[in-house]
Amino acid sequence: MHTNGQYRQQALPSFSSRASGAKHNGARIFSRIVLYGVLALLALPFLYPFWWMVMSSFKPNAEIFESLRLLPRRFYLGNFVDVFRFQPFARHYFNSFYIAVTSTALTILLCSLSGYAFARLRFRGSNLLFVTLLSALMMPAEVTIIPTYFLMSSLGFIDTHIPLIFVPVFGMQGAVVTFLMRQYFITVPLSLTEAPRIDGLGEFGIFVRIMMPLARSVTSAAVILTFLNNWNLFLEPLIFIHDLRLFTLPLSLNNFTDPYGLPVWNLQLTATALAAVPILIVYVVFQRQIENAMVFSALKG
Amino acid sequence: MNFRKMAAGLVVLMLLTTWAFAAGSSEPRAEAQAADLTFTLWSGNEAHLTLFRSIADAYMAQDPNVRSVTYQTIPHGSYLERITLQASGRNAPDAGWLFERAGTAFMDAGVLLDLRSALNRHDFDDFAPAILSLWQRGDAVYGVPFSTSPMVIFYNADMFSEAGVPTPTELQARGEWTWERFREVARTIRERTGKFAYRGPAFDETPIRVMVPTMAAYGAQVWDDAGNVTVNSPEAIRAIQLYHDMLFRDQSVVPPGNLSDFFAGDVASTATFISFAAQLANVDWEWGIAKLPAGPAGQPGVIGQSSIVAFSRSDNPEVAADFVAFMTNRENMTRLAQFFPPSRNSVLESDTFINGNPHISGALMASVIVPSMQAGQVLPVHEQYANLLLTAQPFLDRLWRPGADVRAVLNELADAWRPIVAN
Amino acid sequence: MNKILRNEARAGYLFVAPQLVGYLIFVLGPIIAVFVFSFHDRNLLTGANIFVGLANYRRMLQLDPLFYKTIWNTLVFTAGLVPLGVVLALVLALVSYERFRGVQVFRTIIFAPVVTSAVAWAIVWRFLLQGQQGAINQMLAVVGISGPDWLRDPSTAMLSVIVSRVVKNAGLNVVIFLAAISNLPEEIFEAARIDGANDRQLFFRVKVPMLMPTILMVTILVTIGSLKVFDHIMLMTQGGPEHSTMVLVYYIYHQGFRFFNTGYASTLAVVLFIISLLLALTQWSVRKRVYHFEE
Repeated sequence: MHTNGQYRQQALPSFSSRASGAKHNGARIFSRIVLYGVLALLALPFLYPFWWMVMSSFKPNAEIFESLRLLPRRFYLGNFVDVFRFQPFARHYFNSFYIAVTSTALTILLCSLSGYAFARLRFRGSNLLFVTLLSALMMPAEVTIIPTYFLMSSLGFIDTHIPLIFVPVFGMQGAVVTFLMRQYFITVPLSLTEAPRIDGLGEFGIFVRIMMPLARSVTSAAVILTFLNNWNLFLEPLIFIHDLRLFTLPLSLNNFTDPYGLPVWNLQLTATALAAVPILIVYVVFQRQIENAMVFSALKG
Repeated sequence: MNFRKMAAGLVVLMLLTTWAFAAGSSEPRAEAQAADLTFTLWSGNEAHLTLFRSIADAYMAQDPNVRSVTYQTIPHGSYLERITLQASGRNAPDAGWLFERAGTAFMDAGVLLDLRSALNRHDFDDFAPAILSLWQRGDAVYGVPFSTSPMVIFYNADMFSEAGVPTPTELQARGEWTWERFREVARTIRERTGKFAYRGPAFDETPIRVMVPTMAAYGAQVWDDAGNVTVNSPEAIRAIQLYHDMLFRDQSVVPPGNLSDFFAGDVASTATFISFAAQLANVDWEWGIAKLPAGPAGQPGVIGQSSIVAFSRSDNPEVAADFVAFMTNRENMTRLAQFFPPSRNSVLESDTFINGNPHISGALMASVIVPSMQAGQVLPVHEQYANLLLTAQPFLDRLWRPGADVRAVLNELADAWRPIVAN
Repeated sequence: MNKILRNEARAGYLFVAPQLVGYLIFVLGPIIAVFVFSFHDRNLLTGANIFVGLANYRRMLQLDPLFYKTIWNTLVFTAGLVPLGVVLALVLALVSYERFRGVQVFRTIIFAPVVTSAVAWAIVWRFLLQGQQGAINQMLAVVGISGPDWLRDPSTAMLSVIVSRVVKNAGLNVVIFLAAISNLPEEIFEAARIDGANDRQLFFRVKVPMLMPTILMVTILVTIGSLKVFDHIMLMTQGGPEHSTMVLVYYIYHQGFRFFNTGYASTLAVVLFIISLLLALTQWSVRKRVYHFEE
């Protein structure tokens, strides 16, 4: 297969420069070649879709199906203009962004409050309430989407961003954050809060002045998780948003279709690249934190 | 503060919040005088929207009680589902566009307003009765067709001449423009140019419509007005078999999932509505328009029709109905006619319509378009259309595959449809 | 002292209240409502809402062959996703535990799909999997294989969705496995090696058994995740062709928001609720056994 060859060739130089010192060990070289071959093969299904997505965004529609060439004939930039002409894509981008930011802020605020209460404050029924709130973790949005639709409809919130901002705060994303925050606050030594309390600082003061500044790293993990979750929501906007101007990115990506209802691939892939690449860059920058946050929430949540 | 007290407090708080939400959203009622209208459509085309906005401005100028008119574009592919959801809730739009295939279900459900009295103020008798009939129940009128668009064949004359075959217009002049003959021509085009010869209605978006052009030429219908399923009648099977052979035996027709596009110059012809002519404004090849190919049942006419309706859940039903009537009065319909084939006789016969189309010559308008509009049969409609469509999907998935047994699949489809159509 | 405690309790309730109120409105209320709706037949267009008792349940169990097909498809999807997902993740984790140049890049690549939105991912895969024009079939054509129309052929559609989904989420499980592998005590391997164990024995007799709790954990995570495929199905196949990819989460949407049978869709949602609950309880009890160190 054509593409494998490409990867193997890329992998080889870095290897050979290093192996030149170990010339005596032919078997080792061979095993390295096998290893990189296997690696290339394994990485292919992960990398290839991204590669194809990004390269297709530089191809005019006619060229998109033309060949297996890994690079476009020439870097055509028209798609990046047309994407914004086809539909209000910039506005969709902004919608997604501000919704995710607002919803994330709200989630962090409410859930760190309750996470703190569950970790540090003694009140009757706290365990029961904690388990109750966590039960939101197990509920796929599909279970409750119909009644939620009727609730929003009777409140007149269909075709507003209100359900997109508020509903996730209390669903899975909120439960994860509450859990993360509680787990962290439990580990804060009691001595840190004792003195201020005696000095007359109220619980809210302790929370704001002492606890939240300490919880910077866990908060940033929670922010990442919440933002990604909200940014990628699909079912909720699909149900709650009808008006093209109010679309979020996931809806928008699916709306690059021709009058026959088939995807306009060059635009759809360009838009998809525009939506995915910034997130990928953020991921590469904050790789470790993001991986840790996700694993933590998957395992503990 | 004990736990029970707290719990009671929470419930009260929850009720208060709910009440606050509800109260907040009903606040606009305070100024009952000023109406804010929402109008849904599936076009996001700036030229269309500009025209509609100017109509709204004119309306607001004459009626100061109308504070605003908002046009809401809902994508075509999901329009019906979303408008159904909207019509059921408190966010129901006041008025909007509606396809012919949804009209029956919406009229039966009582979600459309009777526009008759509003229309009476704007020369009701001017509407062409044949065109309006689908939207009438007795004296009541539930929609005003603003776009009555005959399905026609657009063709790429350069590709026909490259293949050395006569164009549809030439075949039509010789009286040879039938599906059988088109099949031969299509095969030749496929062989000589390597390109597809024809693209029918979309398999994904309009699966029932796919069957209509050939079936109409063979005198077959998917179901009839008496509640019988006729999709597996002998004529229907012949028609579908022919199209199936073109698709999979001759491979001269664009198959499902293939993106070859007529308007991009990849396909020699397509059957679609004349409003698509706008897409041909900038092509560098010669194109033409012909009627649909004929068949044993003669020359078929197939019409797609979209109407403007007002919704009964509107907060301002009177205003909504009046706005629809204003939008479709003679003056405004004349302005709309540059894009949409009208339903008023005065506009149909007017010079603006015949010669005002920027893309189609007056001669073609008079010889192909107007007669097709007046004679054609509207695309299949049914009050259970959405249900029929979804029920058909797995059968149609099977039908449009190479080697499918057309008769067997259509028989099974008919069995699945029968209880729904009869109901 | 009593007063302090009372203040503390009051603060506790106040701090928890906002989330709790939201939970009651947006989670608990709708769950109760789903049960109520499942006993009704509601017509969205006309607004008619009739109590029909168990009719929706009877319809589901006795009159709707598609329901059973949906459950079957959901099982097939899970049965395909879980082994493939777990084995692939384990292999990738073992490979990327090795120290070689570029391992960090390799891990970045593996994890990248996890942070990509499912919508973007599904769109790209739908593009790659197209019939004649898709890149995957063009590659197969180079080696002389004529690939099927993956997403329109009922025999390959489910497989295609499973594979795209496995690749999407593998990275997360890889990182979980990596953490577990790096926690394995090196001395035991040394001891085993001294006792004459070869690489294969070391792997199957020592490493895998020690990783068993993690494998079990990941298996459950993938199983639970297999229920949440709405976006993949919606964007790649819409439950087709011939209902071959109609799984429970999509069937709820299909009945509720395409047929507008909200009563019947709620009945299906009750089934999904029960399945989720059972899986959650399993996870809960397994995790207790696997990670006793939790508070």
